[in-house]
Amino acid sequence: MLRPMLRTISHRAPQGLELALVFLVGTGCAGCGDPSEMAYDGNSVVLDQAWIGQLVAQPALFTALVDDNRIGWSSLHANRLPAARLAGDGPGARASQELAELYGNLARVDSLSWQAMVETWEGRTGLPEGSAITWFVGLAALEAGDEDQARAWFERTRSAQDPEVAQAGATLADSEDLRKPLADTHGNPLLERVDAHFEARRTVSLMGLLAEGVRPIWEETTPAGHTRSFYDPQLNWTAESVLRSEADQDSLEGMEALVFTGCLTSEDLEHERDRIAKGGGRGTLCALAPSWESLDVHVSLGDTDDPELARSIVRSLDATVDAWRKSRVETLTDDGAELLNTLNLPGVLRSRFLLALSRYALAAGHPRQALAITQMAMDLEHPREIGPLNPPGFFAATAEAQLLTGHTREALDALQVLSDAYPELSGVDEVVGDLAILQGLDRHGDSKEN
Amino acid sequence: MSTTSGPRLLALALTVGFTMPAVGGSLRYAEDQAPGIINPVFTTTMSEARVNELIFDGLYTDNQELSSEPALVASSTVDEDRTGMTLVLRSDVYWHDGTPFTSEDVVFTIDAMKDEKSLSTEAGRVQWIQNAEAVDSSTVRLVFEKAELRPEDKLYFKILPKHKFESTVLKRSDPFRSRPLGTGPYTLDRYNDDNSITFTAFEDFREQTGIPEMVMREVSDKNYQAKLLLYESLEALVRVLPRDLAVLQNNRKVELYPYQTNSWWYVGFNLARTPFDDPNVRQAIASMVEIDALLAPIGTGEILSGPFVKSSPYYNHKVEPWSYDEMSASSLLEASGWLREGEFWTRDGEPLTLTLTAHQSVESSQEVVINLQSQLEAGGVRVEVEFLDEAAWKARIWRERSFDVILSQWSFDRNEDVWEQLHSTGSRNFGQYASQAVDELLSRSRTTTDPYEKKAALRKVHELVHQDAPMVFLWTLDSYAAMSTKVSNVVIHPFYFFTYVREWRMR
Repeated sequence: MLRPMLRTISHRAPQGLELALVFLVGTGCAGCGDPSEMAYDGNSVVLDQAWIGQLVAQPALFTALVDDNRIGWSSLHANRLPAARLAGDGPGARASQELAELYGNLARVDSLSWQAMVETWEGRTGLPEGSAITWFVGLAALEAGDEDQARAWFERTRSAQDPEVAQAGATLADSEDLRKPLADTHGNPLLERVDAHFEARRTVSLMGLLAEGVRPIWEETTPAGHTRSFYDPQLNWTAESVLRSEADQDSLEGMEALVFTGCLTSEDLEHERDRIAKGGGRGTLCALAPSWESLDVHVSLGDTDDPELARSIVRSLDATVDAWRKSRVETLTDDGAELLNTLNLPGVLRSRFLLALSRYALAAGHPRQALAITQMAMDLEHPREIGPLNPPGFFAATAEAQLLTGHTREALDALQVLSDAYPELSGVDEVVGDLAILQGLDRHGDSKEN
Repeated sequence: MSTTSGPRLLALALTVGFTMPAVGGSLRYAEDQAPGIINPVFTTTMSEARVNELIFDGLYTDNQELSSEPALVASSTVDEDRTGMTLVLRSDVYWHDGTPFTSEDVVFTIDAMKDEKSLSTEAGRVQWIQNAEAVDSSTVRLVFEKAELRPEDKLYFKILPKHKFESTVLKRSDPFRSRPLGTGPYTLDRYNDDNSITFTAFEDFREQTGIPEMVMREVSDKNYQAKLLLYESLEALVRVLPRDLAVLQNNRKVELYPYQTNSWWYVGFNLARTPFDDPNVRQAIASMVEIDALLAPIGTGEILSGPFVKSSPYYNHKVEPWSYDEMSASSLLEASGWLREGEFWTRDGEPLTLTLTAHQSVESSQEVVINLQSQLEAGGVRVEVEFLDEAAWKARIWRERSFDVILSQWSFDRNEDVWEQLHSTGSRNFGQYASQAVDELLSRSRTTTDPYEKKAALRKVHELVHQDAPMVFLWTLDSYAAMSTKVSNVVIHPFYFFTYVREWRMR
């Protein structure tokens, strides 16, 4: 038996919504269909009892939900996560959580790229003598959890040409515990930046760090006279940490926690929270929601990274959701149908579930499957835009999957969409771009017409 | 997507369906333009490059992680000083006529590409090889011009059969162009009456090929391409226009596969002709173009300010695209002595006139040309329009460089090397643009081992080329292939497309 989902929402007279939600003004519940009175097949029952089915059958529930925080909910629906976060309350917590996943994803991409870049460069010609690059790759390794590697890079940084870089390297190389705040930053800008990250995580406040992410934090001029610009490799890790602490999503219940997720019911959500609490992979919330299994959407990725299997899961999902949409659209009230269509709730459900599933595939070490899922999930009416059907997480998961499958240059396509919307991610773009350049240095480019 | 339908579409669908039934695992795919020539030494278009993947092999190829892996090579040794390499070839490779593949074929191909009399459009790909020698029938010795860190990364060019040519001086008109012979997974079986080409899986190919037959059909109208796929008269479109993406995505019998061809459209000037040798005139024309309006009929895309796509590490985001600016256009033309008298700008009594040339095969580009003509005429430029077929395009644009202004598009692999388009000696520099600063930066970008330096050099190239305006850079479009769900195991190479085709299957 499904428990009632609207625990935190009071039933009051609807007061209307703004912009995209304005169509719900004054709908009340007149004419709302009672799902129990309709004739269903098995799949329809499950979806009717899911958040999507409840909302389209009773649009007033939706009005009541969003009425207190219209900006927050409309932003969350549209995947305008920073705006939703600022709007606070339920949507704010949900957006913080999703932003934490986004930055976490990009932090991994950033660190992977730093590591691959220096390995490739070392393997070709050796890293440039005296460059600050060792400092930055050391920080990337530290954030990725490889303390030994980090120490080795900081040790190499002692011999950096710039005295401030050398001092920063020596300070961390000599540090007994790299996870503890620095005792003294010596007025050194690089160490002060490290300290700022410690402070941000301690105080759970980003303190303008994101705004500084749009520009390099260090530049050096080479003997040939060109500039190497380095961006902050700790930025995304700190953003993830702060936003994760900030998000108290687990305290949300009912429809407030469920709407616009890839879970269908509160029981799904509870199951998934338990799974993740037991180490089930952050960001994968709803990927294994039991209700999907009962809809014959079998989320089994297999032992091998087989994209065809992932595609078959998406096809089953589409068949199920399409059939439900088709069967329901004729039985809904005008308001319900408008809610279904204007907010494209089936599309939203699909995209949020597939985002979770792609992350689940990444966590399982199946990047080809993750890529197949995000590619099928992407809303191609607006392929280069973040929107209701294209969460920013799609682009981050795509970039990570591309990187893990050797398609470094292709990862930049996804990252560019993100850095247009989140300028603080420019540093990830740059380091992935540097890796792509290095990987192609020995190749002859090819070009053709058309 | 256009809703055009009716007798023409029905007739086309029936024709395609009846003449090429998709039985027994045939995959029918559409190209805007059929290959003009099937000879890798003279390949200039993407449709030709894709066919090359079906028929020919290189010594090395990309694996699915885009790292080099041997294709025709069994083993290799690079000299300690990295100035030479010895390749041992596979012994299980045959040409499509049954002749064994040998080291003589490799040496012949390199010599033919290097032979200046061949006028190969791909000659630049072997210039780094000083000498190639057949040590024995299965061993090749290569000597390089300088030390090479990863020579296998450059050994991707396709190998030709020596026994099908008389000398290393190759000609575009060699009969080979229509009866190609390779070692690849497919043989060219026949040309069909409806302008399609049938390729059959090569029985002696060294690995199993999943789809027994491939059929390439030229369908220049993108609307029809999409509809033929939806009517199940095709199984694949290699490139879908952005405006068709949503419709195809919503059809559950079709799957879309993004792949990355770094491709951009441009309007290119012939700088060897007056008045296009004057940067003021080029910039003025650039300021008369409303790029958004030109792009609208095609769908969405990203407007560019230089010779790289926006996601490229070389794209200079500080440089803004040209935008419509009537005042600026007027000032620039007046500074060069032009007067607006009546309908057109004139100098010495002669109106500012240009002929805008485009390839006739792609209907979407015809739409752009007509709209561009209208925009420039509104700006006071007399514009004549001409559309060339494939043969005329290759003769007039590639060889004779006889044009005023062209509308065309370039596609690049992931290296995005614009040297051939922008260096004063580049083989694809149709407009004969020459800038010492750009030449130096391009050369530096090719020789540096520092990614930061390469990035900085090419971002500067972007800035300089935008300002010099030998081309007006227009836009890039997302590249998606569309496949029937009957095709499985699809992995697409981001540039050459069919590299992994032998692993594809038909359900």
